[in-house]
Order: sequence, then structure tokens, then C-alpha cells
Amino acid sequence: MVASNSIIDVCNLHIRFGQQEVLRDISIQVPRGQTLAIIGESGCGKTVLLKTIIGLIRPSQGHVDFDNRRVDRLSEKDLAHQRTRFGFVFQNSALFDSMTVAENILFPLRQHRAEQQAEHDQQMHAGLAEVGLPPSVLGKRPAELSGGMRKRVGLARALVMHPEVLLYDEPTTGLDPIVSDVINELMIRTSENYEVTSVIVTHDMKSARKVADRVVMLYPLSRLEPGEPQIIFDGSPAEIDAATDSRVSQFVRGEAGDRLMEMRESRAVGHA
Amino acid sequence: MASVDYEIAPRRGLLEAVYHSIADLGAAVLNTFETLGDMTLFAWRTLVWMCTRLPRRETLYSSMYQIGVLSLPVVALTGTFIGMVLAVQSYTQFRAFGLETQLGGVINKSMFRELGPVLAATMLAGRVGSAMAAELGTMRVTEQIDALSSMGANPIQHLVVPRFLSCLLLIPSLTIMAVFMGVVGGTGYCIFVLDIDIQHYTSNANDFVENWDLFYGIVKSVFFGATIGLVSCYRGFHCKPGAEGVGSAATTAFVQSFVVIIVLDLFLSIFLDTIYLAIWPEGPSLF
Repeated sequence: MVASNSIIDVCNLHIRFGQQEVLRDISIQVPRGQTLAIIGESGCGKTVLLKTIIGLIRPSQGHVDFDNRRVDRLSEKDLAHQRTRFGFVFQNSALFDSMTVAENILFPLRQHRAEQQAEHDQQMHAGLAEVGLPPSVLGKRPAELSGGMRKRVGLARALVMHPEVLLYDEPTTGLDPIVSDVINELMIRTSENYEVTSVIVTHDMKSARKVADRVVMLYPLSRLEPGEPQIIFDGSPAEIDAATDSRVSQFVRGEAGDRLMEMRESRAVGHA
Repeated sequence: MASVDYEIAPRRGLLEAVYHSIADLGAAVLNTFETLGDMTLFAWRTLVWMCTRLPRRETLYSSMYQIGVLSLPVVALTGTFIGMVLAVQSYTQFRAFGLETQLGGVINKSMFRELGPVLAATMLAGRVGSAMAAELGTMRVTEQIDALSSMGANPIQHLVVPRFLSCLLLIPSLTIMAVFMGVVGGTGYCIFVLDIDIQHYTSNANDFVENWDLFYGIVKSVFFGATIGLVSCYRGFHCKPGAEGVGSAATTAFVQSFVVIIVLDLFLSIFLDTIYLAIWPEGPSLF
């Protein structure tokens, strides 16, 4: 295997769930320190790709390399160790309901670091300060927090282990524009302060433009012709506005076009 | 042509129906074997994690409190009433033969060997098993289980082992409580309501029940506890998305646990009776 500058290397990845094909022949390289935004319509397989990168989903074909090691060939122990180099911010934060905010943030530290409680507390407070939350939230349960606060706690939990790669799944979905922008600012600051590589799955174009160095757009397989590549755009945020592919420009402008008509037609065909 | 179509169409319909029935049956059989294999792997992983790394004390204590301590009142209450119901149901027949003083033997033996363990297991499956499946199912749906994995933690070690251990370790205590309350309920009803002579009643009751009966009930209960822990956690882990999926996981956990408990009960009864007869070949004598 040839060592490359890419920390994440997705090679000819195919993912199928039973009869349903979700990802087809995806190849993406993410260089160290880059912030990559993966955009695309709902259901095109963005989250599946993110979960495959961290080894939560096994590829049906092809592979993902992390730091030149194949993720699907790692033993359970090595995979668990490798995951400590990642931070994952989930769409709905995925904070543990039964734990307080403090216990949520401390969880990865207690799991993997044998330091004293005082050091853990110090790291927890540093993480909390990084995302701009007051210490008064530490004793609260996730259910008592707003959506934006939950996202920030999720980010603090991801940051305490000082990961090399941060994976964000729809970080601004369901938030108001101001809180969305707070999250965008946090993502930029985190990339700069921690020098992490980031992969952001989003369909928020404002967020992608602001945060990402590079944008990749996936298209749903159900709408592609056989043999057509699933990645329909790969370039800088500035280039996406000048993209000639009508599917890309339609997504960027957020226009439905004749989509509603197509949906009705496919429904009619299904019934027939 | 029209007449040919008329002749062929029903045959094709029938053939198709048969074909689909066979295909559905085959799919169901394959699905059952797949689930069984998956469940066996799940149980194996749970046992391996249980032997290699015990859960943190506070996680285990919290789980034990939820599963054991909070189940005590309901197990005690149902145990008492089952003992009394046994007395009510058996009294008429025993009285017809003039054997009402022997009621204690039957009630106690039934409680120790059969009703105590099955009752405690049923209450545990209903109260705790469904709740565990719903809780883990919600964690699956809200990606909390994925979050655990993404942090390099093993979900089976963190979520299943404490619950499984709590079920395994605490069900004998719940069984003893159910048996004790059943015996108290049955005795109280016979003596205070049916007016059976206390001396004869207790003497007969003591004669019929052996230490083996207590052992018999506790051995069964350990298997029932393991079943509840594994089936409920498995159902929670394999929950389908949405509120319907969580509800279905909770219901399926109870139904499957209960069915397995009843089937296990039969085989364990046969097995334990075989052991008893191998050790004491004269066999037990009730009368």
C-alpha cells in the first residue's frame, strides 16, 4: 500500500442494504487538515458514507482507508482504538439521555484515559468553554437543553479527546439561522484551533459555503441512469455556483423544478 | 384467443399463489434461522464481555435497583394473591376427599417448584423486559448506540452486560420473595378464611416441601432471568426505526421472553426431575 497525504481514502465504495443500493462506486480522498462538505438531497447516502468512514457500517464492496489502514480489516480492538482519533457530532446530538451533560462529556475520557478525575474535569471545562456553554449546564440532562445547546454539548463531547478527524452529520439541521451560524463559527474555530480534518454532511448550502474548503455532491441512485457516477460535483465552494450541471445548480438554488411532477408520475407507475 | 386467455388466467393465478406461498414460507424459515443465529452470537458476545470486563459498579447498581428493587412490590403482591387463589381453587376438591389439611403441601410445592419462578419471571419480563427493550430501542433510534460505538466503547459491554447481570443475579431473590409471599397468602387464606386447623396444615406443609424444591425453583429462575435479559436487550438492539418500532420491540420482547420461559420451564422440569430420580430413586411422595 502506498502512503498518501490523504487521511481518509474512500475507494470504490459500494453500500447495499438487502436489495437496496445506497452508494455506488464512491471514491473520495480527504487530505489532512481539509474541511470537506458532502452535500446532496435527503436519502442520497450522505450519512451512510459518514458512518462507513468510522466503521459503523461495513462496505458491501470497496473500502475506506484511514491513515493508510483499511477500516473494514481492523480487529474489534483496533477499530475501537482508531475511533478515539475521531469525533462524531450526530444529527440529533445523540447525547445519552440517562446521563447529565457532565457525564456525557466525560464519557469518552473515562472510557479511554486513565488520568485523575481532576484532569478529566479540567478537560471537560475546556471543552465546554470551547463551545461557549456555561458550567451551569453540567448538571442538566440533555432533555432540559435546547437543540442548539445539545449540538454544542455534542461537539464538546467530540472535542475532549482531541480528535484528528471530526465528522459532522447535519450539524445545522433544525436550528434557527442565528444558532446555525454559531455552529458554523464553532466548526471553523475548531478546525483552526485543533487543526483537525473535518467531514461535514449537510444540505445547508450557506453552511457548506462558509465552512468548507471543498464540496462534494452526491446524487440519489434512484434518479441516476445506470453507469452514471453518483458524485456529480467535486470542487471548491466558489466553483459550485458556476457549475454547469443543472442538477447541481438546481440544488444550490433550492428549486423544486419539475420534481413534484416526477414524484406524482413515479407514484402513478408504482400503483399501476 | 379470448377463450384461451380465459382458460389460462386462473391456472396462472393459482400457480402464482402457490409459488408465493412457498416463497413466503421459505423466507420465514430463513428469517427464523437468521434471527436464531444472530441471537446466539449476541448471547455469546454478552457472555464474553461479562467474563472479560465487568461493568462499572455504579452502572450495575443502578441497573440492579431498576430491575430488582423496584420489582419487589409487584412480585410480592402477585405472589400473595396467587397463593390465595391456589387455596380457593383446590379447597373444594380436597374437602370432598376430607384432605383439606393437606392443602398446604400442594400450595407450597406448587409455589416452590412452579408458580414462584414462573410468576417472578413473568412479572420481570412484563415490567423490566419491555422497559429494557423500549429503552435500548429508543437509544438505537436516536443513534445513542452508534454514538457509543463511535467513541470506541462497546455497546454490548456498556448496555447489555449490566442489564443481563442484574436479571441473572436478582431473579432468584425475586423468586424467593414470590414463593414466600405465596406461601404466606395460601396459609393465611386456609387458616383464617377456610378455617383449616393450623397445626395439621403446617405439619403437612412442612412434610411435603424439601430443600430440593427451593433449589429446583431457583435453578429455573436463573435460566428465566438470563432469557429475559438476552431476549429483551436483543430486541432493543434490533429495533426498527420510529415510535412504532420501539413499541413493537417492547411487545416482542415480552411475548418472546414469555414463550421461551414456558418452553424452558417444561424442559427444565423434566431435566431436574430426572436428576432428582437419579439421586433419590424412590422418588417424591406427596401423599
